[in-house]
Amino acid sequence: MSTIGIDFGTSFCSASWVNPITQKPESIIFNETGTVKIPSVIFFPESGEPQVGLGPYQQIESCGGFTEEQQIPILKNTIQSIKRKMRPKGVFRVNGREYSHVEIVAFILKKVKQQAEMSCKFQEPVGKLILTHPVVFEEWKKEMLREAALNAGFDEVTLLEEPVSAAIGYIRANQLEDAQGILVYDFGGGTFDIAYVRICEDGSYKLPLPTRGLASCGGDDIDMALYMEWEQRSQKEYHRSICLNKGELDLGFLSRCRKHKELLSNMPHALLSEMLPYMPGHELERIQMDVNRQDFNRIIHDVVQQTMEQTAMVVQDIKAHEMPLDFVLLIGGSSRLPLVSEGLRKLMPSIKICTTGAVDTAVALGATYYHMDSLSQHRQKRGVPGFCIYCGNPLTSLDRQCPSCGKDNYIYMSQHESH
Amino acid sequence: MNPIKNVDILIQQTSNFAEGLGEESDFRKEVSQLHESLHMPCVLAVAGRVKSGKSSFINALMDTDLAMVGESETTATINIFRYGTPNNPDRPVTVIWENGMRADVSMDFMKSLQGHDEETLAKASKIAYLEIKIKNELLRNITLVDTPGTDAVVGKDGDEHQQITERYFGLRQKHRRQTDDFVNRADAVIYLVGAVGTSSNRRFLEDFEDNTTNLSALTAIGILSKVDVDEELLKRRDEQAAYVAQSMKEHFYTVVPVSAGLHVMLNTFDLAQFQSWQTIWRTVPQKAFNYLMRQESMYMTEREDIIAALWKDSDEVPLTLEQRRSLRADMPWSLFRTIANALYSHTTIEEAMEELNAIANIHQVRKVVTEQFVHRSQLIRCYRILKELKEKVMQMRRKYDSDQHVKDEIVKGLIIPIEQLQLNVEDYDQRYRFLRALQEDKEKWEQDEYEELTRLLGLYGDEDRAGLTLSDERRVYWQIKSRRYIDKRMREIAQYISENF
Repeated sequence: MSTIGIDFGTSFCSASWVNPITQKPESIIFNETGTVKIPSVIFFPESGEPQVGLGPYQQIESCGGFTEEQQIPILKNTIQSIKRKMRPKGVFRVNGREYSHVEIVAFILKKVKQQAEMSCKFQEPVGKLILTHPVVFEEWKKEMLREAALNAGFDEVTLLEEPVSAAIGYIRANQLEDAQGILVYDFGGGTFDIAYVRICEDGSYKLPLPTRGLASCGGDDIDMALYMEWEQRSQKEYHRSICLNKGELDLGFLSRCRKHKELLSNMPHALLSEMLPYMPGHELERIQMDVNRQDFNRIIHDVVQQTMEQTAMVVQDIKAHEMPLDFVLLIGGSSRLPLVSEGLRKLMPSIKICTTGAVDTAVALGATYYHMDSLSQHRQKRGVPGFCIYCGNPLTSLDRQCPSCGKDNYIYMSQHESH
Repeated sequence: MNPIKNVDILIQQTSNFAEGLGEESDFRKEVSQLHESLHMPCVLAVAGRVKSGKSSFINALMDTDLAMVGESETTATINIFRYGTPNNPDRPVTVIWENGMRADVSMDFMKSLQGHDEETLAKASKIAYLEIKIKNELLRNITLVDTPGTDAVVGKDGDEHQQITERYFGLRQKHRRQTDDFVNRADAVIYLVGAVGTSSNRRFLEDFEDNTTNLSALTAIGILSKVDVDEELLKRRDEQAAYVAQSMKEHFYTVVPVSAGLHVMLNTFDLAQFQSWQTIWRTVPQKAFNYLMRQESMYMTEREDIIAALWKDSDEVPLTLEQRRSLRADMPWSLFRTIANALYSHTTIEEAMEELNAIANIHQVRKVVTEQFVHRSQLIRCYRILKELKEKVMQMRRKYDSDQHVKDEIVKGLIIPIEQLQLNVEDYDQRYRFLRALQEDKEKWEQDEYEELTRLLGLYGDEDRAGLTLSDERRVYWQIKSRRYIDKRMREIAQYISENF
């Protein structure tokens, strides 16, 4: 039975598998999207099967220009962000039918499974799932995930905390097995989470300290900060709001701000130029912004600062408990902002900041590493102790030969408990 | 939702579960401490103009006759009703003088403070408050404070009362300095209003808010009292209550129409009595009934020729004056008329009683007070206690890490119910915060949006909120708005609405 790992996200899901050729975990690139992500969006047509993923996502994205009346039939039959909306015994009423939240999650997991099977050449049918979830996920939500995974056609499901998964993936992929403690800074599109992951001497991963986070602080807020900067310019130069409706956002302009954010993250200096939405009776109005890194940092400072405050609290906790900290791992799309690394360096000058090219898939990838590790641990449990029986020094679960004294350990002993 | 009760059940279940597992008594002791800290009563003050029916209301609310209902209907002191047994049953009232001295006195002393003569007021002004301990179920969760009536309109006496009431609400700072006795701090207030939201009512509330830092519309309930006085008002009481709520929405969480007097009558007579009255009433021809109910003097008419004429087309024997007097049972006319109307217009006693209870509506006040209101101020406490409880249960679970069966039991039987309750409490508190945000930034919303949101979030929400849903159109409307508002908090509110209704 083959195994996949899924990072079930609020907006997108990503997945991983063990490539049978390399025998290594890899992110799955889905045929449908051509990327590593599948949107967590479902659309229920008036008749026929529910649709999941790219199609419904594109449909939603493209209806911004419609009138409200035109949007109704699309929006009322589309479900987004189910991860955030999960409620005990929750249901959605669509087209006169009720779908439980478990069913909705199951639709998404099923889609990811199907897409994985179409995109990768599994040697055996996919039956096992390692599914990641936020640390603070309540037990009832975990129960719902389990149930949804079984509904989606998996025979077996293991749940894993997101930061733990990311830590395992990074450590294993980069052969950093001697790390003892890492801080996982996860700054996504809408949320922020900061967790300290302790790697115990027996090779297990634990979360000994309370994790922290912000339920609504992410890339969307950065886009908004840029939008507000433009708004100020518009007021100053043309005495008007960007949006024609009072108190509202121009969503098209907001999506331009997302592009600006990406550009400014990569370029230390950029000249930006935008047309304001046409206002009847006005000339066409153009505004420009000459932005260097310093300006960009100032604009997004307040948003990033919130994450720094949360991080500082966890760092304090680590110090108070005298726990080891080897490095900070940045994951989530918004962790690419240069100000994030800068802020963290200021907060912890002596700690290394690690980034990965795969900020979006680090969690999913870790799930498959976890799966491989648990297999090898399972094998080794019978033969290898948590510490060397000859010299007493700790052994990682993968070692048979003691790195300290060089002797081979074959006898089973109970594992070290460590905190 | 009743968070206190549900938290209590969970605490009890945890304790039982721990006992079943043979956990040390220390653990259970800690759990039972959580139970105790859950049950601190809230302070609820009742205020209103002179003759607004305050004392009858308090009596009805507690189902006792402790608050004095006199002709004068003037309570010159602040009376605090607390759960408990008096030290001395003959002297159940404790006087707390302005100078801090305390003395146990009889009920007669309390009665002597009824009235608006100079002497009474002078005596009352030296009293900080009276405290009355009674074993009343309502008081288990609420400490009730009866305040003197306020009304600038009735002249000198009224002014004096207003002063005393203001003094009460100003007392809090003074008490903070003088003693560490916080008992008089009102967590919430019930304000009795007349049929129309008058300017004097409104002025009172404004002053009231100025003097009390932690009170806002969200901690004040309006009571439209004495709805029985006028037949027209009685018919349109819900409409009137909505009107008062609308015109004073900065001040009231909700407005509930009640007839405290009717509630007392419903408790004074038993069902058999009402049934026998109904049997008699049902024999009366419509024409005769209409005539008799028009006004008191017509009902008590001694002109037999009129009575005979009213029963002309009927086979039934006309009601004699004596019978009519007996039916009246010394009730105030408006209450009598209300009861007679209900008995006459329904064929079964059950239907009639249902209507009368709906008019009295005290159960609704109790519901609003306990479910939507007192618990709100206890929510934060509930939340904290739930969090502690969950931590304790998690500790317990860790001990059984190797026993899958016990672990599952703990997760399904304790942790999941705790979490679900946490979710309810959070949701409840969320709505409260959104409501407050809504009021603070009222001008940012369109009028109809504001009204829709307050209805959904429960500002006038004395109806059952579970059934509140949005049409697809409105849900989509809020969904679109949740992306479009420039103001983050407005986006959050719109999102909440589109996702939860």
